[in-house]
Amino acid sequence: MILHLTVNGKNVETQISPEQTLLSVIRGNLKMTGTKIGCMVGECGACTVILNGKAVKSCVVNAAQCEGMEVRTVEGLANGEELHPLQQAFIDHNAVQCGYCTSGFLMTAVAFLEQNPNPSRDEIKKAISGNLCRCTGYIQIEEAIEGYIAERDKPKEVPDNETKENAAEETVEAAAS
Amino acid sequence: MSDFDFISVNTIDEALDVLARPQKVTVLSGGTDVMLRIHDGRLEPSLLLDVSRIEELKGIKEKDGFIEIGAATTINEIGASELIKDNAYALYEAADVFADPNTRNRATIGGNITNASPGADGAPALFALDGEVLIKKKGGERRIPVTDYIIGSYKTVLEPDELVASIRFKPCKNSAFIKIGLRKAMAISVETVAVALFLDENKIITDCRVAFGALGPSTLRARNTEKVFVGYTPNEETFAKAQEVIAMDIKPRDGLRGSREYRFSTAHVIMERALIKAYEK
Repeated sequence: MILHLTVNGKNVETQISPEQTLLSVIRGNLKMTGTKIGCMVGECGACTVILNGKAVKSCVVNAAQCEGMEVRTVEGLANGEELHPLQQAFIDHNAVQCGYCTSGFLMTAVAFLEQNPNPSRDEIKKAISGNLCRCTGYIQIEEAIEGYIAERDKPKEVPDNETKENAAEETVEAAAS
Repeated sequence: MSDFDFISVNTIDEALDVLARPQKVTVLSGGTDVMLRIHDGRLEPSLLLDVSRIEELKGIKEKDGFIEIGAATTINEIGASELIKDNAYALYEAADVFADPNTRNRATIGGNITNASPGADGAPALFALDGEVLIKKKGGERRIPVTDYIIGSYKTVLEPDELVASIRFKPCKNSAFIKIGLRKAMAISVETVAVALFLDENKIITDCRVAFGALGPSTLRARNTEKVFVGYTPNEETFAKAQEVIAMDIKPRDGLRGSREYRFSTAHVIMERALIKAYEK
């Protein structure tokens, strides 16, 4: 059967079989490997994508059910070479170690912040409770999400081009460290 | 593995037509259990019937003095419903600790009771609320207590040509749910308790229902224990009396997540806490 999806704003169609998961369509059919295979039983959250505005574990979503739906994956977060500010915050707050769980955490956090733009620390903890990270221990991830919110809400005093330069420098530093 | 077909329908009637076919049809909504069971081979459908687009199966409403929840309503929709929070606090609390927030975006209440896992977190609240399941098939329907719907570990009385349409219960202002899990998210329950109380104007209990999850092969009602509280309040005396009869109701099993002894000794404790919480609401 043919499945039609909008993936990160682009219309795609692909041949699938009825037992396929959304995860296997994203990685296998569409060759987008930013979404990770983890437990394959809906426990770990490495495969989290946003389906019609809601974060879901794509390893337990039947792909055929998604006909006509809108899917957002980690590949859709950055704007060209410019990282999504939440991705940048994950780097700035050392919320990434091995990185395997990161795309899942990012998608969970993006969907969550769309619903609840100013959450408490407890609300953040609860929101990411279905995503497992075995390296950083969550604190840095929570700090990254809070850091993103603080950055987002900072009054914009400096001109736009200067902010961008600063951000670029920080990226280089983070990558070098 | 892909020796089956897939069909998506938009109305209950279309779904019932498909279910009436002489084929092994598996109903699929959120998929959080069905997809697992297909992939590990426990479920071998010849046709997967997607009911997630049937609007008639979704939503929460007040009807004929009951709160009615469509079978394909997600756990997050239940957790976000003021109607549920005000009239079925036990179910609201269960929705809040059910799996994790992202699973709750997909998992449905109809799926939870139909999968009928011994540790299903939605079931005890519905048992305590005296929920009734509306089951439809081509040319007919029946309504049965949820306590008669789930009959064992992963076993229900649903016939192959039937579809769960909704679950309803009378509003209850004093209910509560408590879960013991080994961690906060994605924890399969060690044990759960749900309590629903009805009080008279003097705050004396006129009706009491206590349900336990994860203690045995299926969710159960503690019918002897709950009677102890009728005509009284939750207090030291009724708790002591309840402790004497609880062994008639629960025969906890030994398991990975908790021993028989642990489950037996904590069941009474979480029941007391839930009774007080429900009573004081």
